[in-house]
Amino acid sequence: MSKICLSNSFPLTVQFGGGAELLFNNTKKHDVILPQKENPWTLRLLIAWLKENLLTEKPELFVQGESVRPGILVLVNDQDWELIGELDYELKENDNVLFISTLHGG
Amino acid sequence: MCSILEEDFMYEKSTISQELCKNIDVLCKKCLDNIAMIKLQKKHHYCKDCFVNIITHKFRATLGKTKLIKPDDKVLIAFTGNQSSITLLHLLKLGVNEQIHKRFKFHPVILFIDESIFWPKEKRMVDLPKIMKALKNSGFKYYITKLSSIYDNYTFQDINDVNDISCLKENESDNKLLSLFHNIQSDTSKTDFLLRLRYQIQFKIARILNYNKIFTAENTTDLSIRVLSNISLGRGLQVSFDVAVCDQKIPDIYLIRPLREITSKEIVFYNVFNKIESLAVPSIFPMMVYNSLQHETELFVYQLQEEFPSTVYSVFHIGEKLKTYAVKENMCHWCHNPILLDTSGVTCLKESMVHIMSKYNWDKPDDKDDEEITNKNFALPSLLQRIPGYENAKQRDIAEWINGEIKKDTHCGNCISNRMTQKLKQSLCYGCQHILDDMKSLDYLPIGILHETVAEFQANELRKEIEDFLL
Amino acid sequence: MPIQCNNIGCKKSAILKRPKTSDKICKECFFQSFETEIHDTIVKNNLFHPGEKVAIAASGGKDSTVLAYILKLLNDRYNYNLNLFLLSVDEGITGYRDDSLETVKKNRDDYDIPLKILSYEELYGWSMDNIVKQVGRKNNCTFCGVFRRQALDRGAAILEADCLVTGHNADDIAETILMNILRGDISRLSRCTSIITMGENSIPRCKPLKYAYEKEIVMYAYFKKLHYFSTECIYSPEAYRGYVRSFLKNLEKIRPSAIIDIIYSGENISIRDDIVLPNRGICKKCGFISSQNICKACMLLEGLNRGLPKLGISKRHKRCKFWLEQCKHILICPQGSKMTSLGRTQHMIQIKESLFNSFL
Repeated sequence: MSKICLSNSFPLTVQFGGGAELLFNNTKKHDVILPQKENPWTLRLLIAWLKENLLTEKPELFVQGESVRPGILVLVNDQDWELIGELDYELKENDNVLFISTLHGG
Repeated sequence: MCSILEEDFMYEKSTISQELCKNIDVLCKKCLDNIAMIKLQKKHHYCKDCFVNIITHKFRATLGKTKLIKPDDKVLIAFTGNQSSITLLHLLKLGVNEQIHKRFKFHPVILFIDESIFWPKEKRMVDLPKIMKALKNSGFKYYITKLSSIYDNYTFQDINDVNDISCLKENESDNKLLSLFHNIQSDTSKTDFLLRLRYQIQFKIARILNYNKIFTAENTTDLSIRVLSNISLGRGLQVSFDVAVCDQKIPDIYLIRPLREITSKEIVFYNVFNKIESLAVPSIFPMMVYNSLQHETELFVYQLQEEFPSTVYSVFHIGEKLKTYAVKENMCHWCHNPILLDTSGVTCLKESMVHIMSKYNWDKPDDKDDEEITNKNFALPSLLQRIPGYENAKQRDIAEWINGEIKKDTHCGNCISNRMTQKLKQSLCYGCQHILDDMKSLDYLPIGILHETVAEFQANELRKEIEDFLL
Repeated sequence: MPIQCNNIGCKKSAILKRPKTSDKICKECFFQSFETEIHDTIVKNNLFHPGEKVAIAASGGKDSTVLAYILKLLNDRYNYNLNLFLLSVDEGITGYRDDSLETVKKNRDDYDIPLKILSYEELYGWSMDNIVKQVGRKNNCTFCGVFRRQALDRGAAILEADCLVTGHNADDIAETILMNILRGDISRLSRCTSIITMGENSIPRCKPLKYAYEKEIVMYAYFKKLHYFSTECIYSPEAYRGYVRSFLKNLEKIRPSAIIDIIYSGENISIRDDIVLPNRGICKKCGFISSQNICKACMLLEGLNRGLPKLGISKRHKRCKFWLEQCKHILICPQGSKMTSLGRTQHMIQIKESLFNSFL
């Protein structure tokens, strides 16, 4: 696996569902390119990056501390993030990260 | 006082074993073959196939245990468009397409209650057609109605053209509905009232269609949140009805909850694994910002769940162990739950200070409560006028009678309204009284849900008058 | 412009808004209504009978201070004809009780009510500080709570009281209801709302402040300038209860009547007839109410004295496991592997109980 990527990009698909998309410009699917950096991208860093760069509404409804708010499920390539180390999971290029809210409306 | 109450015992924190090293895939604990894709309750790992099988099995087992569904039964499926109800449709579709020996032999018919009037307009235009498409694709027969049909005798339609949502376009009833909710002063009561209205419509339409079974898509997580929020709404008596696998608060209709053993996390993964597109259903509160007891409870449950993964189950099982007494004569007119007549305990506390004060001869009684009622209900005569049959009342001219009544009473011009509101309040349970208290005005209350109350009231008033006359 | 008191006929300006009713009222009307409500609770529930000797559980905190003050006042105002006295327990936590006991002593002098102090050391032979030295800080609150419950009962019995009153307020009751729901503890849930708890061999306990909001108790103490001690226990409460407490506070913020509504719900809950609740028997060792053969306090005490402080803390089956491990060398369970898990557990319990009884 060649970790050294000469191009300046780290492509990733980020998807939102269950109402979480309302906080992200009402768009369910985002193809994002993360800036290349020395340390690996983890979900922890991704969540912080999303908060700064993609979130359009009320951050407190998406993040809590450095993680997502309880009630929002995270799946990487359809796999439960609880199985892969949660915040510490190191993202790979072209990973598909899905955030689904199970919180209700009214 | 110290935080420890008398009968405390230690609650042990779940210890989360961190057996997972990065980059090492965990195998499914069932087939021991495939890579696990979901982790439940912080300890059970399953692969896609095993997980989907487990869910399907749970669903069928829950239905089977009720022993209520007979071959050729017609069942009304309450569809809201949320994630659980999409799962429910999918599971039903699988069931009726199974091999012959496992095939469901009952006939599901879908009822979709459109609440999109509360959504932002753009959202409506995008999401409604999606829901229509999902209904169409389910392959089942379906009916569509609107939440505002409470103003229109619960009319519903069975349209089959997914592009034709014209029957859902805004009408006057929708505006009434919006005003009704606008008049409710707290998000807590709005949420509660909405829930009660949904049930009300489901029951009414089931009756009209002559169905006696309804499936709803409420899941374990929803129901455990319901248990806790019912408690904080003063609806403790109703907990067992509101979470039962078969809710029979209305004697002639079985409300069945076939997803009650499945948690919201399982629902989400089921949908993802089956590639079912989720239709986000926005709430009556735009942007998920609201301040209600129910929402606070939801957040609390999810928060606690992170640390104590059995929370949802413990709460849910409490609901199963409770009973309620169905009292036919004393049913709340809004939510159909029993009304408690006992006036000991808290109820005595609620009978405002006025009462207690005057009882112990302290100071003058105040009539603040009466004042409040008067302010709220000056419009009641006009409310009465909206009752069907009011115009041409058979036995006597009620309008004249009411006017006469109002004139007769020199102390208080609104006495009949007061009595009417009192009557209305008496016909509601403790929980629904809260909703009534939060309503600024009763002007937009739909006749459908007032009918029984008013009919009873009229009968009482007439009887009283005849008695007075005979004396 | 000052807001006028909501009580009609009262011209004074309002100083506070009652959380329970949202009425804005003046100081005098608040005192009157607060006191009258408690009187009403006492009368409606038949808490006391003339001539009774009533022990007031006094900790020096706000609840018990207000309780002592109000009982004294109502006793005089409505001629309950009660013989009141204060009962305090000294857990032996350095710095915690030293000051609060001073407060209780001040209450004794201010309200002219006799006082009896009992220490854990006197009752159990262990002070809390010693217990913490032994068990660490993780489970110490369990010891403290379990021991205190009995300490009060024992004290009341020694002093031949007819009734023991505690300062549990509406917030405490609502919190306990929520706790029991979250733990799935159905039998405690059905019991925790009663205003009087009765038991054989034990003195009735009652909670006259059951419907009084914590906020109002604090306001009452503040406006009456009652002297109370307000330091939290240095061995602070377990995390779980902390969550529930802050949840309750949030609910109260959204709808102030929520606390009383939770109590209403709790009072109206009834358990299905086919659910079997554990029998409440009597502890074989000390004679107090207990759902087990040996009550929790005796169990904990036994553990302490034997140097096995885990005893009595963990759940039943874990306890069994513990016991089995202790006795591995003398006992091997031959049928164990063939039994169902329930059968195995019951079997273990039998073994454990016979072992335990032999130890006693």
